[in-house]
Amino acid sequence: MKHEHKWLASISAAILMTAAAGTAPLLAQPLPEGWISVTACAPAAPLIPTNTTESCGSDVLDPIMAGLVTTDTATGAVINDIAESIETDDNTVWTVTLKQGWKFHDGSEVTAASFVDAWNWAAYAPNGQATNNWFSSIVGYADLNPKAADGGKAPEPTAQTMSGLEILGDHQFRITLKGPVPGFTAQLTYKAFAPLPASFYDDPAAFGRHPVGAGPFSLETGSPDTGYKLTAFADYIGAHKPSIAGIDMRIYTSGEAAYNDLIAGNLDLMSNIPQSKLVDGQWERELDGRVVVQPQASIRGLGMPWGDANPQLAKSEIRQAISMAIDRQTIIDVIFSGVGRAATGWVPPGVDGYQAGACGEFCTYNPEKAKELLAAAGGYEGDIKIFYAGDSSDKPAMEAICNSIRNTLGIECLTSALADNASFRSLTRSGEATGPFPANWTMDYPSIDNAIVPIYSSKGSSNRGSYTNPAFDALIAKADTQPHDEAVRTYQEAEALLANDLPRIPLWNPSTTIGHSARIDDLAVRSNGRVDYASVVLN
Amino acid sequence: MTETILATSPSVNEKDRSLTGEALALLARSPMVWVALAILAVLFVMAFAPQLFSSVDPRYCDLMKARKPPEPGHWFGFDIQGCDVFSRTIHGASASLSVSFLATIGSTLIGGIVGLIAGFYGGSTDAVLSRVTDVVLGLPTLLGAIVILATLGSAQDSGMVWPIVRLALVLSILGWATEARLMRASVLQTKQAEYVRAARAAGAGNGWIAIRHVLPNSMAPLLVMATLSLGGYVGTEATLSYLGLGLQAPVISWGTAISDAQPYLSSAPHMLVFPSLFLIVTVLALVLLGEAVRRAFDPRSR
Amino acid sequence: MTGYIIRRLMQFLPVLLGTTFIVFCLAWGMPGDPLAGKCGDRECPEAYVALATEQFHLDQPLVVRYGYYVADLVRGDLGTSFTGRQVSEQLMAAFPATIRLALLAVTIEVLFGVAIGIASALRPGKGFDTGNLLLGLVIIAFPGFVIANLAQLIFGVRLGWFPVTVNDPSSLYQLLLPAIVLALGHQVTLSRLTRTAVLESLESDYVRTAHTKGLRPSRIVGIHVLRNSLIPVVTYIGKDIGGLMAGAVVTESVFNIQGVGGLIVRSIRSHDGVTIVGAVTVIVVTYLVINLLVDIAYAALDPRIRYD
Repeated sequence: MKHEHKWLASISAAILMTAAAGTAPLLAQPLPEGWISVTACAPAAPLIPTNTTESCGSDVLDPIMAGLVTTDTATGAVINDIAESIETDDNTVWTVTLKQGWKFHDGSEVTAASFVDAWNWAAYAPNGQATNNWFSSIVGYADLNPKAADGGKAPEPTAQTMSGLEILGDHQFRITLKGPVPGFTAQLTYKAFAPLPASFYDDPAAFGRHPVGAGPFSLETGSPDTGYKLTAFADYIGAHKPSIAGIDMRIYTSGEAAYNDLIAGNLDLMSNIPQSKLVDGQWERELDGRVVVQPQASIRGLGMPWGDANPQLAKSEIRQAISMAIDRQTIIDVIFSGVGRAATGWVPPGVDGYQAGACGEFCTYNPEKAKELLAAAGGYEGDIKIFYAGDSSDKPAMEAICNSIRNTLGIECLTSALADNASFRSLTRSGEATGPFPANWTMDYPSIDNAIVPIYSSKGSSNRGSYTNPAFDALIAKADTQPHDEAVRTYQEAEALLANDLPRIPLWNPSTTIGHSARIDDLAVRSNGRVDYASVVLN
Repeated sequence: MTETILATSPSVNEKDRSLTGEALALLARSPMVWVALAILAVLFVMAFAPQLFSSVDPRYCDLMKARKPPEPGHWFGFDIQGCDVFSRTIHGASASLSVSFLATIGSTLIGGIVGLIAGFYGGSTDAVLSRVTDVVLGLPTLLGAIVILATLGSAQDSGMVWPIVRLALVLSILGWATEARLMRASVLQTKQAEYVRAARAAGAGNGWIAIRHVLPNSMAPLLVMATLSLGGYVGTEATLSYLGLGLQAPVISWGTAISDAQPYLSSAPHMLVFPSLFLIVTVLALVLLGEAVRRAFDPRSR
Repeated sequence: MTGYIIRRLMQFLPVLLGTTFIVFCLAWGMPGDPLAGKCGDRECPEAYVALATEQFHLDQPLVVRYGYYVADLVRGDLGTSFTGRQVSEQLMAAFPATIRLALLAVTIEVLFGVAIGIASALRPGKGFDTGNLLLGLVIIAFPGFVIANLAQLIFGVRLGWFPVTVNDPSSLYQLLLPAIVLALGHQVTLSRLTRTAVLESLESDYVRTAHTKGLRPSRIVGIHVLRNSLIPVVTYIGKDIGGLMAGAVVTESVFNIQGVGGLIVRSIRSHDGVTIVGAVTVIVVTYLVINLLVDIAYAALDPRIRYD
């Protein structure tokens, strides 16, 4: 028996150690009055607006930062925020006048230098910012980003500031662009153009842990492990003044966990409900109708290999046949439980310049026509392989597309997962992918040029399929010199050209799904899919 | 003298035949053994000739039928893509059983050998082998699987056999360490037994003692682990498939079916329950068989 | 014994050096450009790529990079991850929850696993034994995520007996349900190992001798059988504590525990080599320590076992 006692003693020791392993409270603290708890995910980079391109970091920064302009939540129109006015005669030289009285969360005033210094810092190559090339249209960018000699390292820049940015006064500055950019004010809605306080330059790393902006909420405490606590900023005078007192952003690593907290009443607001919970209206039942479905300014497409990797798929007729073999509506209805809309072009609805049906019949499910096109192209030998990243949620949709192609065209179609996003990106960007792959685009700013120029122009920064079409490039160049309305029409002509080649097959425009607790009475969602916290009304 | 000492040793060469015969006779009398064998026989036929059980094409999927519950002609219902769950479960037996059998055999062999050598020889041999074991225990399966799979071939090639062998290889390379620890512990204990000392005193060689005396008497924990890990490896295969590292189309497997069905646990449980049932029955048969074999061959249980 | 322990401790350093090198090679040997996909839907600008390449010496050969890593390590610096955070800071944030969860789970698992194993072995083939076998099989055959999800749905959401998810910092009560879920699966293997070992002991000569000597059955089981059966059991428990310290990826994700498992998976997915090496090295150290303790326990349980 003695030995059993020893055994018990060691077990009780283990229990004591467990208890001692932390002085955590037994139960979670309740939220302060007027606060809401929302889902968030751990940011993958320091929280510097010019270096944050992934959605987790952007979700945290969005309510902290304010910019020259913002979008109207209801109409999606670009409206002035910190800017009093942004004026131009030729789309090249822009004069920005700021409103008086804007303050950063640290109490310092927002001035012209807050913008100019921030932009210069972000564009300066040695700072290596992920949004560096957003400033490439400003005169003097090249001096801050000297080109590397072949195979070598880039030389040290000759200047630290862009000559195209001139401070005219405390609240006024002038931007000179290399050429006309009709949609420049829309670009300014992007967070990379947010002003930064003078304290930023003392210690950018510290700022990355505790960002300071001029937005409606200031960061109280936070880390990627514990989540972020944001309090409403008393001195905020912008367009998104909230009525709630604060936001408790909780880090969730799985959507299911967050959803279960939501239906158990432990969470107030959740975006992107897991697909499996949408089935047969399960979420609407479990949340008692407290749901919002908001179309997103983004598009899901199927990138097609362009060139030698798969000569058969380079044929337009075969691409068209494949596109017409995909039963988009049924896939949306079944896999996404009807959330989202079949895409009929390359520009998401709601974006300035959107035209319905830009892709025409080629993006409409038509099995007979698809078979005819395939036969006309001489059939297809071998199998089609659709590549996707194994750590994404693309699997069900890609399998459904494959089955649709198999059932319609009789071509063997297989899905092939790559280990992670990095290997998926490496494969699709190298041009070695022998088959289609999911290609998504979320609008950085709501204007037609952002939906097509970066992806399909020869020099586009995100032209992953290496698509080249001289006629398309010519139209883009033409649009650059035109005033806004004419430019939009030219962009639309360019978009129409894509229907023949289908460099990407448009699939669908997703919608943001949001569920909320009974504490929240009303809320509105912005076109970027994020909740406008200013619109949140508590019961 | 030698004769009497050896007579107390559990596995004696001259008596082997009769002992084996006795064990088999013992096995043949147990109804559980027959049930287990019958289940395994059915599973093997299913793995080699799935068309005998189901005439439905497992890869024909109609999205309009997605997640539909069982109906006549489709007794297990439909999965998320609208494929027939019964047909896919039948056709999935082959890949799932191959992977888990090969991986179990692989990891048990590697782990058994490493554990036997480390435990039996001790000293610096033990130090080296055991520290390697510690390191392998600490390696994340995900990391090892990504690198080994990439080394063994690219994502662009596919087939029916190589992916299965490749996956089993990865699981063996990453999974033997627990088996090695168990085996070593068991050997450490067994080699102190009187019959081992006696054999040593009688002048038997190291290798002979290790294989004839220590090995058979140290196998029990390893066998328990092996029968259970057969089920576990189907689960690991599921997790890896889910991450894009396991089996992929055109290969059909239980693991993939289970992991795909998991999110729909509350809305379409049939997609998960049927493949899982097959898995449970398989492991049940193996555990029963393993237990019976262990008892029949364990010299101490007579 | 003391000499043996000192020899074992002296092995730590070379093993750790070897481990960091192996893991370093594996982490940076993953296929694909680690910087691909770091800039959302867009391609990363050249300036960004150039800075990251320089910071992480991505243009240097692997051995040179390992040299830089070791040089930092000697100074006590585990490095800075792609996320811009210190690896040591990330580990300090992830390990407390994992350690608490691991200890809680192991405690539950040992209590139930050993007890169930002994009870099954004392009456093999009877109702309790068979029922336990079948239940165990169901638990084994259902993947961990199913059990974790079901437990969360039933006991957390529907019945409200336990918190649905775990906050940071985690409390004991919040960790109880995840620990039970974790222990459930491991308990099956543990109880079967215990059962087999106890059965073997019960059938062995010395127990028969003890019986014939007229010792009380409870005393036989308590002293002779249990003690001799514990070696495989202790081995498995040691392996399990190590495994749990490495983080339970699925359970952590279901219950939203910010632990080591999630950290490692996230780091692997984002090719964050520095974090991977740091975390895995800590885990290997855990295994080294635990397995040393287990080996010492062998000698205590079975005095015949000697290492010298």
